[in-house]
Amino acid sequence: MTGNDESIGADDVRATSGSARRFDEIDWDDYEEPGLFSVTPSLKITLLAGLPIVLLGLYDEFVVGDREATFVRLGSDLGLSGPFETLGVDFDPGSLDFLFMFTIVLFIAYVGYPLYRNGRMTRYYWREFKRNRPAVISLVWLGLIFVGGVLGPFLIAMPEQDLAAAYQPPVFASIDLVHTTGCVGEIRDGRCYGTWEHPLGTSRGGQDVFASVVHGMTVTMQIAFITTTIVAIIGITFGTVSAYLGGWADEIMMRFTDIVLSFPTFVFFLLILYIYGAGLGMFILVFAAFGWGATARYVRSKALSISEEEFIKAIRISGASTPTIVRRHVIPNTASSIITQLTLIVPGFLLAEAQLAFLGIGDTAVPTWGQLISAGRTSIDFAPWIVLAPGFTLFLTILAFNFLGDAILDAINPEAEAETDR
Amino acid sequence: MSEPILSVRNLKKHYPVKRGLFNREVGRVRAVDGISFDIKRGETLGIVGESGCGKSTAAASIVRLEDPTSGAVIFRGGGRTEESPAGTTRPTNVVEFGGRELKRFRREAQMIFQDPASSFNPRKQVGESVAELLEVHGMTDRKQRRAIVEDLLERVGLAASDYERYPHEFSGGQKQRIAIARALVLNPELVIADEPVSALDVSIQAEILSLLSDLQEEFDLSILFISHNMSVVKHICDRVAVMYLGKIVEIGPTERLFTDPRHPYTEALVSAIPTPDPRRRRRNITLEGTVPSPADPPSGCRFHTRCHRIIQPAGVSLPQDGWRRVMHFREHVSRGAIDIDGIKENTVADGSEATPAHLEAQVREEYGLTEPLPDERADEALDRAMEALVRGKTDEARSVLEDRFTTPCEETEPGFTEHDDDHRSACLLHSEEYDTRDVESDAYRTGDGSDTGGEDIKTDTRD
Amino acid sequence: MTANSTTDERLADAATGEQTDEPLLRVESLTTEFDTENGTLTAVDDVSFTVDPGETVCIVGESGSGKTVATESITRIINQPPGRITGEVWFKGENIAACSERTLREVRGGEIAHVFQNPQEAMNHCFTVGWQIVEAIRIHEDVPEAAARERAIELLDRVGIDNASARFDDYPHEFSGGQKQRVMIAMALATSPDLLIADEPTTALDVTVQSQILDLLAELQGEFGMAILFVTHDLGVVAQLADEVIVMYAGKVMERGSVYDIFERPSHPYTQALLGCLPEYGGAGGGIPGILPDPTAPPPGCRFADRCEFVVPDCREGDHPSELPATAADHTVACIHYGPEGDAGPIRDATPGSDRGHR
Ligand code: SF4
Ligand code: SF4
Repeated sequence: MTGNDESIGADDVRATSGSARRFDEIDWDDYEEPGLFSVTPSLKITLLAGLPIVLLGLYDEFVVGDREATFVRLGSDLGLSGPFETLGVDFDPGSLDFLFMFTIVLFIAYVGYPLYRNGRMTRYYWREFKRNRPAVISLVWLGLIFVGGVLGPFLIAMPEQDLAAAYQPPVFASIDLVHTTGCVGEIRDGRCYGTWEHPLGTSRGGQDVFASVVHGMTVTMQIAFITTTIVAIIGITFGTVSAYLGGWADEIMMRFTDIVLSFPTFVFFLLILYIYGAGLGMFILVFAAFGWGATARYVRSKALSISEEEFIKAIRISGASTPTIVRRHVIPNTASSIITQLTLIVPGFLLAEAQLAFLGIGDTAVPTWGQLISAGRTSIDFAPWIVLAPGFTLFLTILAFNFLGDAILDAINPEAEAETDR
Repeated sequence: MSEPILSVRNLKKHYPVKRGLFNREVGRVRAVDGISFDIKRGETLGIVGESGCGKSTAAASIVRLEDPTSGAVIFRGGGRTEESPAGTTRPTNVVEFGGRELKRFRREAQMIFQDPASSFNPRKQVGESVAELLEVHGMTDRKQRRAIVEDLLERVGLAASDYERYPHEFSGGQKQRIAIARALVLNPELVIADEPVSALDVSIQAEILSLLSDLQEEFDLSILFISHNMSVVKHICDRVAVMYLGKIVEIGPTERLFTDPRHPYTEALVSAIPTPDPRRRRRNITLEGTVPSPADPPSGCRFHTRCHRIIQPAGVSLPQDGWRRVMHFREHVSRGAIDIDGIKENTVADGSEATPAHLEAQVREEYGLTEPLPDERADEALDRAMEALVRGKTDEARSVLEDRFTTPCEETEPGFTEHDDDHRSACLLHSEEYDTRDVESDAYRTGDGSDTGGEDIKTDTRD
Repeated sequence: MTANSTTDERLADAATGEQTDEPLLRVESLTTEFDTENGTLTAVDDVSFTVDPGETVCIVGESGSGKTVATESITRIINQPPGRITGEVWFKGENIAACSERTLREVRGGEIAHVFQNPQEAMNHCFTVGWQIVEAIRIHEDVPEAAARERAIELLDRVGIDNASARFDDYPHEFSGGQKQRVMIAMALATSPDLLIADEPTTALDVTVQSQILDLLAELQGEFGMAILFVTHDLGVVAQLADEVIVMYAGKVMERGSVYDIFERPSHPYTQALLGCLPEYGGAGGGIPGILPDPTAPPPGCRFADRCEFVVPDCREGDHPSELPATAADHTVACIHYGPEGDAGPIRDATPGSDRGHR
């Protein structure tokens, strides 16, 4: 007998009663109360794929030295330096990278896998979603940014300073020679023309703008995924717990949410910045830690309305425990509003980061789009591409998130579906 | 057969009304206020009543979707103790069940809900929604769960392949079939159906009802059937309980209850069913006013504010409809519902002040009291009250009316009177003390055919 | 009583074989379509009917029959687009389907009034009910406010609102469901309409309240001499109220006739099946198996073919059967068995409740 893929340790039960094939043949005395905790496939994925990342992250944090590249050290620790070197494995991910990887695993386990498993429903959503053209384009765009962000750094090296190639124009554009120190491409009529070597031109320091934009994608995706995860986890937990506890606990939790919502995060971040100094990690942490208020509220009200639905009553009188009901029925049904909420929060974070960078108080160690825009603003009159390239990318990305949010809400809103049903 | 499967005793569910900073309880909504009944094995008991009568709350309290305020719900009363597995106390009172016992009880009492649109998780395959119940109770083999549910889907008139479909792919009637499958999958003995066909079209209703009775017969189910639709109840139930404002006013075998309703409210309800026969158009009993709030139910018999048979005190003898109007007037005066200033304002169209006589005429017309009452003393009291009222002395009007026009119905809460086998109703008219009038020949009586006093509004012109 | 006299007149007309006066409302080939994402949905498909002055016509059908859309198309209270209405609507000798939106606005709520299923949704919650009735009066008639006010109070009183003058200044939420429906009726009567279109006005109400409202409508009809076009799914209500009945299914008229024709000589298989679902007519039949055809792509031939007991291959060909006389000149049935080559005998024999006998 196979097919027991969802829980463990029930073999003996099946041995005695697995024969019942009709509901009125079941002898319930043969069945045991299920355990309190069951291992869902999503949890399995998280544990299987996430654990190594967490361990590696810890290893990086505590074992690998500051100036050492993680995988080089790992290679030597495992006695595999040779093969690592031949393969060219010499990455040095930081803690943000580990966090990023872990959140991607979470996304696969809790968004990707369920979509895969309910293939028919997914196809149905996709049909609905496809109707919205801008949203499909947005999705493609965000897909590109994601792929660029994840793979780009492996394919395209971090842009190097090269003062001899400062202010190179993008392809098909030109710049007056007075502004440049040298010209990589063709020189005609006292103007330097762009080449494919620097498709989007270079910055004042001679860094390739395209390469910088690609590396900026990584940061953008890190901000998007990590904040989303933190906000979602806190927001959903807070919202559902508050909805289900009710009474005083609910009251207190919601007042706390009000505080979080009205908290001047920006000022608080500046404060931290001036006192301790802060990098991108701190930025993400602070903004995410104060960004879940709206989500929690949303989830709470949605959870309250869903628990009034008859299907929740039906599952309640089937004897399922409250945590199970919340996990299996309430949260998945708040998903449409949570996802929309999150796709609207992410642009906010991206903009905040760009603003900080533009003000010159961002994390200069990370090549964000905001940094690039800020660096290019002094030369905007003769080398506008330095600002325009990352600026447009940022603009389109934010737009794409907004479009996507709307389309997702429309596509997976079952209420609207039930209406047309009748 | 004699042992009831479910006995409800004096069940109450009150919702506190809270106000203010400290959530002080300022009152209680008595949604269900002491109901008792039994359901026998294999029987269908209907609970009917209009919206707000507490029938759905009663259902929810019995299955512990809501925690009852007090009372007892005895499930499979006797014969149960010896089944107790070691280590459990196994009281028979559902109200006192703890976690484990409650979960066991869940297997034996299931529910069907009203709205097919919201009764399934829109993001789950319907088969999974049904199979989940098996999983909750420990059936870990996914294939077995699936086999059982597929078999069950076929039995309720769907296909095994429907397992994988989503709720939005089904029509309302099909969803209700799946809901029945979900209610049956744990092989319960009692099914509580809360308005299971109210959201469906007539042609679908009939299908679902006959499915339900077939299954009932096959699996020896007991059904508690909650509905506001008298025709449906008449069709499917063995016995019926009528609820009004949180109380059962009459309970008895369906046939008897519909042909010979003993409680005035049942009588009004039965008469209000539109009969699908154009030759039997009749005037039905008109109930005055609206259902009072369950937060502040009327004293005595809760129906007395609307009852067409409300009892006259000793010493008053008016035609029943006149008496009803007087009581209606009295009640409005007591509640302060007559706004003399408002009437004054709105009756002056030509700019002159409305005279008291003018106002009195208005009020009398409003309450249908233009003719003098045939009982002299009563008429004199009414005159005095009217006069006081239009002069703005509402308190005086009230005390005059409350002195003169009293009714035992507001003072005494009627107990149940047994009529014949298993037919009970709670109305003072049946107690010996007040049983002086001949109820049967009352002008309000409608009987069940046009020959017994029903008035045809339209006479047939053809045929 | 008005209803009787019209019935008599009609009988007289039928006897002499001539239809003298023009009906109050004559709907010709009314078709209403909606553009949806899944294609064009035909809610009402080539429907014609008439309403005589003072008469009560009931359109009865289940959900998806198009009964509500049909009545809403009369005064075009359907949004266009996505809706598209074609056909003629003759009201008092004028084709209001062709007239301008402005003229129509005067008819709508003036000579033709509507009462809807959900009074909550049909009222403005920011104004007192009295004000709303006064407004309704003054839109269509140039009367001073004081007079309109007096009339509004009279109307409220007439529809059975206790203490009408005091409740004039109350807001809709201060009324119970049944009272709100009464107020809606008062509002509809404000302009003394000739035709009242009532769309399931009692469906959301409790049975005792429903019977009060039905009684009220019957009384008012006599008093105001108006015709009522009553839309409902409840055959019981139809039997209690109607003079003439139109049975609709999937956007088409299946059968029409006097209330006695429909209940005592139901001739269309659908009407019979529908009556057969009622406990009073045997009831245990188990409903009508099957589902409505897809309104965006109706199959050829008879719309009821998939659920019909008497279906023959010819049923599934060509257009929906045209309306053919059944038992009387004005009792028609859209079923091929009533045609020249058909044999309606078996259908007639299957009349539900035929063994019931008449009282
Ligand atoms: S006790 Fe009085 S008020 Fe109550 S139902 Fe009987 S007659 Fe009516
Ligand atoms: S035409 Fe055919 S399918 Fe349609 S109702 Fe008549 S017999 Fe039935």
